[in-house]
Amino acid sequence: MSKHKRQAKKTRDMSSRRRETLAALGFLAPNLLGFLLFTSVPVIVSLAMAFCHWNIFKPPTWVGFDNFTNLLGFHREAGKLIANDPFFWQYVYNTVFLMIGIPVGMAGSLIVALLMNQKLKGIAVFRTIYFLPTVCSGVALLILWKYLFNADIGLINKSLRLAGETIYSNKLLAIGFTILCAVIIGAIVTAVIAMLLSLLRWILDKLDYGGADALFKVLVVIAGAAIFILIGAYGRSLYGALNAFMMTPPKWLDTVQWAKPSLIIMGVWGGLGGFNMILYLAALQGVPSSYYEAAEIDGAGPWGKFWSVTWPMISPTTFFVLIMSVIGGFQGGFMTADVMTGGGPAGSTTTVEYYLYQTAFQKFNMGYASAIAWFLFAVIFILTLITWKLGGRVVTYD
Amino acid sequence: MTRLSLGKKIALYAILTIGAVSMLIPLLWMISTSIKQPSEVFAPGGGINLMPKYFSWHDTKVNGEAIRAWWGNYPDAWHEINFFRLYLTSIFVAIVGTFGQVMTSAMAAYAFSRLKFPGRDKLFFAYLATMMIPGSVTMIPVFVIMRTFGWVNTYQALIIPGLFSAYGTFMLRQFFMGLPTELEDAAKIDGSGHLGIWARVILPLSKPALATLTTFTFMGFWGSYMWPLVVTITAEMRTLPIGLREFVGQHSTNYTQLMAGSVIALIPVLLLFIFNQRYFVEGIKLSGMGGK
Amino acid sequence: MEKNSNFKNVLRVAGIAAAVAAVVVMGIYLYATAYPTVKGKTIIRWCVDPSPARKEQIKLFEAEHPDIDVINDPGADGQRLLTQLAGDVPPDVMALYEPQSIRLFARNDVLEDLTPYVKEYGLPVDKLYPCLKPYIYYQGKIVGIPENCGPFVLFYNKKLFREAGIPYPKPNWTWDECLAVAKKLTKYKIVDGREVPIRKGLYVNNTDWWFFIWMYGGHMFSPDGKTCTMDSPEVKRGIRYWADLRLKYHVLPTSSEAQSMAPTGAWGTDALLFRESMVAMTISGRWLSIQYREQKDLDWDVVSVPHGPNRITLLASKSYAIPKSCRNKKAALTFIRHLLSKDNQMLLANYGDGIPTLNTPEVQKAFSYNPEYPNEKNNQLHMNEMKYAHAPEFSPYINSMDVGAVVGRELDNMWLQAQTPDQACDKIAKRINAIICRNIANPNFLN
Repeated sequence: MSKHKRQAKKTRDMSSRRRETLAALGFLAPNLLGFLLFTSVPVIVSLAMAFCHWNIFKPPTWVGFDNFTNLLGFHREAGKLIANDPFFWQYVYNTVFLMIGIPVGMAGSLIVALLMNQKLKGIAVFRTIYFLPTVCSGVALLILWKYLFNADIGLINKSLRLAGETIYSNKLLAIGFTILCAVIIGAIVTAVIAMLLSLLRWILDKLDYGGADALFKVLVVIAGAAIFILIGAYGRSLYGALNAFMMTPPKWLDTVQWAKPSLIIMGVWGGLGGFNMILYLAALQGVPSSYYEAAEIDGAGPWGKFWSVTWPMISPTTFFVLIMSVIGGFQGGFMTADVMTGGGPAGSTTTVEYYLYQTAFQKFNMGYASAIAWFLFAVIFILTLITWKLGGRVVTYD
Repeated sequence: MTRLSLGKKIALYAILTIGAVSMLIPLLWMISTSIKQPSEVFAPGGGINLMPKYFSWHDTKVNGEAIRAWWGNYPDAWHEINFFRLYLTSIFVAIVGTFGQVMTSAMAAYAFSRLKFPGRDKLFFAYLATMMIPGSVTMIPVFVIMRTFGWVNTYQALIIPGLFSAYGTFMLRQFFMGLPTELEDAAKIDGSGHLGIWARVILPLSKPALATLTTFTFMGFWGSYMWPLVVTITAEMRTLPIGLREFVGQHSTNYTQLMAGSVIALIPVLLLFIFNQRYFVEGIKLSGMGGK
Repeated sequence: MEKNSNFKNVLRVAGIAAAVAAVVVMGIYLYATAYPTVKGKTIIRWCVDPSPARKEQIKLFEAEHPDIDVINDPGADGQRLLTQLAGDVPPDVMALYEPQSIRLFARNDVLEDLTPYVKEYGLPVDKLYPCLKPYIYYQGKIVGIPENCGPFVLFYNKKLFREAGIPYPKPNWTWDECLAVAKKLTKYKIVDGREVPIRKGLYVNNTDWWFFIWMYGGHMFSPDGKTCTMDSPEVKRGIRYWADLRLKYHVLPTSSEAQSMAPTGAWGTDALLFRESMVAMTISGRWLSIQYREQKDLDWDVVSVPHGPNRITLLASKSYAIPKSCRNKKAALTFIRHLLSKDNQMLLANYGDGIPTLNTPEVQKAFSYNPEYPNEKNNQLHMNEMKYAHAPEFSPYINSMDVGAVVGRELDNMWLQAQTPDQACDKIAKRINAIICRNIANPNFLN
């Protein structure tokens, strides 16, 4: 290739690259303009306010890192370390606790989406029905859930009591039930451990360690055996605990221990057929059936097909759902705290977002609220960055 | 998908039906409450009344107590608040807003997923980052911007700030990234520009994603409460969720009319969902390209 | 085949065109009717909680002042109000419900000083009940004008009293007498082998702790506001008494019992329980009679809140203020003057809301008997109770939100029996004092 020609190709490349950049700008323009004006400016203002004392009415005054030290710092009092903002860390804990619902909900949505993707008569009707909780009046949902969770007359406790009375009236039945529960609990715990171990296997794979698969299998078997032996050893206590749980069920929303799990149950149920399910459903459409056929020829069963074809093919959606759920999870809990629990009992369902709202609009402390917001931002940002970096390797874009 | 055996089919139906019953209860309760008398919303012995006690086609009297016809709460709710105007406003705002948001998101997502330009990923991450700031702390600055433009209490204020969504951009980007490049290359060879590729290749291939985003965005506009409440002043400008809130008083709530109003409010969203449903499950036709 | 697809295309294009046309028509209609013209009229925005009475009130005002048009804003939502004030789009007249929030707004120069206008507009500040002062003044300046108010009273179900053969309570009764009555009125039944309450004697909202703090003469704050005195023996005794009502004598429903008797979700639990005869007595203000009137088969009356050694009850009120940035001060003042007129006050009072704030013989006479509700002979009692009514306490050194969070949390733990009343009081005092110390050291926490 002559020098002249190479030069020409380079300029052509340059110009095509420039053309592409220009085209990109054109495509971005409508969104970017609005983004710069209506999103980035307010975001920058809130960042500035995080370093100010601003009570909305008087001009803000610069206070440096005061808001952050007051929010996140600790001080010594009578030899004990005490947080400057006495309740903030509890609210952070509540928020993180409530996010346990995210993986559970995602798995649930995926399962429902897989069911909804079957070629069955009337499946469209089921899809619509499962979506209903997402569109129903929030007031109706909250009233019904309050009734369900009621300690005395709620449907949940009534059924638990009834089941308990039936089961524990017969010794044999009771023992059988205990064993059944033990098996279920053992299976769930083993599955969770297996999931964590599969992460290890994946890392070892990346490091080109040959025996990862064998090691994984051995470890899972050992862990499973250990768990079942452990449960067996404590069989008597399990029997007692189950008996107590069924005969005097928890008071759900009225107790500090059960309020958060109750809210998680509520959230997971409402989300089963909701947005995440629809996203998964749309993603499942993108998996070409030829892939399944190829997997079938390789002798894969339904389980194998899911892990080798479906799961990687829908990973961009999983990635999206995960990131959005984490963002939403850290900013969540306002609705339920505001109208259902009032953030109680004893502050056990107050989330960071609810606290932020109260700080901003009931205490007029906008600077401090901005500091909370940017603390949240930092946490979410770091988590997203980690997910992004990891995701870049796991997520397959066709 | 392979054909399912009869046994599996029955099992699937059983599982789906159990779930469906629980999912149906809220709607059933809404409907049954909307045809009840105000006095029978809650059971006297405590608990929730699922079925109305009185059911009459006409306004009557039972034991000297006036009983409204079962459909009576609907016209009552309709007249109690200026329902027609609220409904129309909500529909208008939601349609225009949804169309605009899906368009701007689809365009931006195309640039973020299919085009190469310097700083692309950084800019995209900036988009993502703005979603991580809770809306409560940015509301006042946005409101001040609205006032600077003279947009307070206008339809612009209801629609325009909602047009530029990082969520929609992110969602469509994820979807576009998964699309195969073959068709795009073929279109390039045919001499199509980027606009042509976007309009004739990418968008038609993305129907499931676009239908999904349309549904979500419409629901977002439809249910939005706080922003319309803050940015509107006169009754003519308000949207349906604000109107429905009038049934929730400071000391008591008019549940029957609230539920009647909520049922009416539910219809457009449900219709849209049912209409869009066929796109959620429309497989992308890759067969013409011989797979990958 | 070809024809068919052509036809389909035409249909599709036509459909899209029709849809676009429909949206455009909708838009044109909405725009055209969005701003009804009111020529030559001043429009003022009245930011207050929603109530059907507002329409009547506006009608009454506009009949007298045809040059002013009043818009009723939906609710006094905090976020909305603050954002609009910050964005310089203020309402013209805004309602404030607590002395603390009046203080908060006034401190920040948001509220117009109404003192200079008192004479010009004839605002009858001197004719209001004396105990309403915290709703009117900030540092000697008049910043709020209370429209109506309500001393907390005890509503009781006459029918249940008759059935149990208990004489109706007298206005000067004590907590011990009340407890004895409440015990008799509490009923259980056996469901599935478990005792389930079907009626409780008394209902007191979990957030109305003031009755019991004040009962034995205790206070939440020292007079200078720098110390929280929740750990004083008087307060502890009162809170113990409250705890005993629920946990020892079981005459107050626990929150789960309250829900199981009337699971309304989050709203209006006390009124609903009372309406359904699930509680025989409930402590609240006159505004609840709006609901009790609707219930024709409910035979109710009011009596004063029982007292301990200290006779005192809680006061609630709604005060109107004008933001400094208000553009239509004249019209707003005219409107506030009207809200303080006898006609408006009587309209609101007859509707069943709180009692008039005007303490003039004329209004008192008009209010004492309402021919429309001949059964309600208790209006005089509400007026008498104003002698004992007290606004909730607050300290200038701590935000009432923080107080509410601390007290609510510790009392929750008390109700869950995770701590004794004494421990709860000690913890409340310790925590609030810590926050006060922090706020004095760093005033940025205070607004």
